[in-house]
Amino acid sequence: MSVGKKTVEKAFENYYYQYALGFIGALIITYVAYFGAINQWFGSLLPGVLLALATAQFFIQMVVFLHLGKEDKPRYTLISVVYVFLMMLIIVVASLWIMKNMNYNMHATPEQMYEYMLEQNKKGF
Amino acid sequence: MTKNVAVLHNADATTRLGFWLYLLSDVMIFGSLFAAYMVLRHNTAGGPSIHDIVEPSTVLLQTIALLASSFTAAMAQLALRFNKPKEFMQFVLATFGFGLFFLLMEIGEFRTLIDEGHSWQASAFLSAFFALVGTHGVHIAIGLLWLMVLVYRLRTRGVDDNFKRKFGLFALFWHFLDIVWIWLFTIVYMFGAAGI
Repeated sequence: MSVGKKTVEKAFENYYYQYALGFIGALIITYVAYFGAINQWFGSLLPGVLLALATAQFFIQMVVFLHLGKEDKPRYTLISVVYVFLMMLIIVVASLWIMKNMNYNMHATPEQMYEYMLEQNKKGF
Repeated sequence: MTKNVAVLHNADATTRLGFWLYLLSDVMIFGSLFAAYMVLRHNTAGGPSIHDIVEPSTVLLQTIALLASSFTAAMAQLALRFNKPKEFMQFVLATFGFGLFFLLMEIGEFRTLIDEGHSWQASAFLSAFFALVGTHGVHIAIGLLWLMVLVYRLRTRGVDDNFKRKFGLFALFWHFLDIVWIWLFTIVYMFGAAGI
């Protein structure tokens, strides 16, 4: 009986250390990102470094606190998560890409655009 | 007996999967808001940019509070699983306290902005900013309300398997909001502080 209790305590402690380590790791990453952004470390690499830190933080949280990938097979949760994040990445990156191209191709001023639209409307559909 | 346990386990797993699917639909909402924000963040219409309105030290405090809240939520769930009711209540209180602190700081930030005339009507950038940060804030507020309901239920009906499952879902929700905040912290606030 006492052995069983000891094992339970041990299991509790293992989880506790895992969570504490995840928390400390998250704090360190946050501080590096914070001081990096404030003091303009890393020069032109800064945006990339900040995104890399966020990604690292994201994976720590996903694995340590959300226990992703530790479920029994079939791993429906993991499959759904990977699928949705892929879709989200497409939405975000593609939106940025399209809008950047649109801005680049939009040489006209608003007044010129107005004239152009009037002209086009005269042609009819 | 063993068969019953297996059925119970499956019901639990199905509930969790269902809740995960809800969270993933929330990911799509936040993804769309992030995309809108990143496209519109330079369209300030002569008003302030993100670099002008961000207060890095406030945001750092908020982030630490939310990370701590997520950690204590995980510890509360652990205490619940290992039948430690006293520790459980302490961790739940800590989770609630950190969450409330975060929310109050965010409301303070919004109030300052609006008092200075930089409301969501001022520019496309501010519309996107308020929509993105505000949606996260509303989620936090609902999470705090949920936690209060759970504590009330604990007081009236005590701890049973049902309660453990419900609290597990809350912890999932809370960690998820923490993960959303990581991206807010990086893409909105740190990019803004660095002037990227």
